[in-house]
Formats: sequence, C-alpha cells, structure tokens
Amino acid sequence: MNHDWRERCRLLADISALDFAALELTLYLDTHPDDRGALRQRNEYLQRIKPLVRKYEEHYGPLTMVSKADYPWQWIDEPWPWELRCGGED
Amino acid sequence: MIILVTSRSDEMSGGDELELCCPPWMQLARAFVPYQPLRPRKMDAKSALRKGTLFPHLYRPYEQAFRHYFWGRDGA
Repeated sequence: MNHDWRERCRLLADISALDFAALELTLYLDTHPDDRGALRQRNEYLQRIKPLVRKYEEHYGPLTMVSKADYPWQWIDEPWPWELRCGGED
Repeated sequence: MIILVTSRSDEMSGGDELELCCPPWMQLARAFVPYQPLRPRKMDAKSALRKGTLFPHLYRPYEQAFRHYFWGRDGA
C-alpha cells in the first residue's frame, strides 16, 4: 500500500512536471513560432507524457474529467489528483 | 522597483488633470519590457515546476523580505 502511494505520487509528479514544461514551451512558441528546437522539445515532452498518463489512469482512474474511463465511474473518488499528499520534493 | 523622483517640466505637465490628482513630483508610469530572447536557456521539467517557469530568464525568487509590504505584519 505504502509502495503503491509512492508509485502513484512519483507518476503524478513526473506527469505534472512534463505537462508544465510543455505548457511553458507552448506559450513561448506563441511569441517565437520559428524556434524549431523549442517546438521539437515541446512535442518530445508531450510524447513522454502519453505512456505515463496511460499507466496512471490504468492503475488509479481518470486523471481528467474528459479521460476515457472504465466501469465503475471513478472520477468522483477521492483523492482527486491535486489532493494527493505526496510530501517531499516529488 | 525604482521610483523616479523628479519635477514635471512645463512640457510634460500640459496644465491638466495630472495637476489635480497628484503632487508635482509625480510622473505617469512608463513600462519598458524587453522581449524574451529567441532560443532561451531552459531548465529541466522538475525544476521548472518547482520554480514556476521553464526559463531561467523569467525566474524571480520572490524574497521573504517583501512579505510585510504586501500582507502586513501578521502575514495572511
């Protein structure tokens, strides 16, 4: 159980970091559309998020309310992704 | 933050609303915001999330020293 929480927190931390970095690059590209390197890095981040999100949702239920979901409906179950108490740096 | 304390010259004043609202040593604010450079340095994703920006140029360590100025002695 303890291990499971740690794994869940680690996954969520990785997803959050990559998602944020991708968002930062997206905003940057609005003003610098010709930066090929930034665009490549953004797409790379998005690629790296995909399997992590898939793994997270497989084990712990939907990450967002528009994610594909299994029966029974779990979105409303606690804790919500932003309520996870992970502690420490991650 | 830099506060410019100078007198308004006659050319600036235009003898109008500014005289009514403010003491003569105050000037209207002017903002100079440099454009973010192309191909800026970036930090790794973990640090970015922790610091609130991916770009070292945009990182500001909001110092504890300014706390009281914004929220008073008791914090908030």
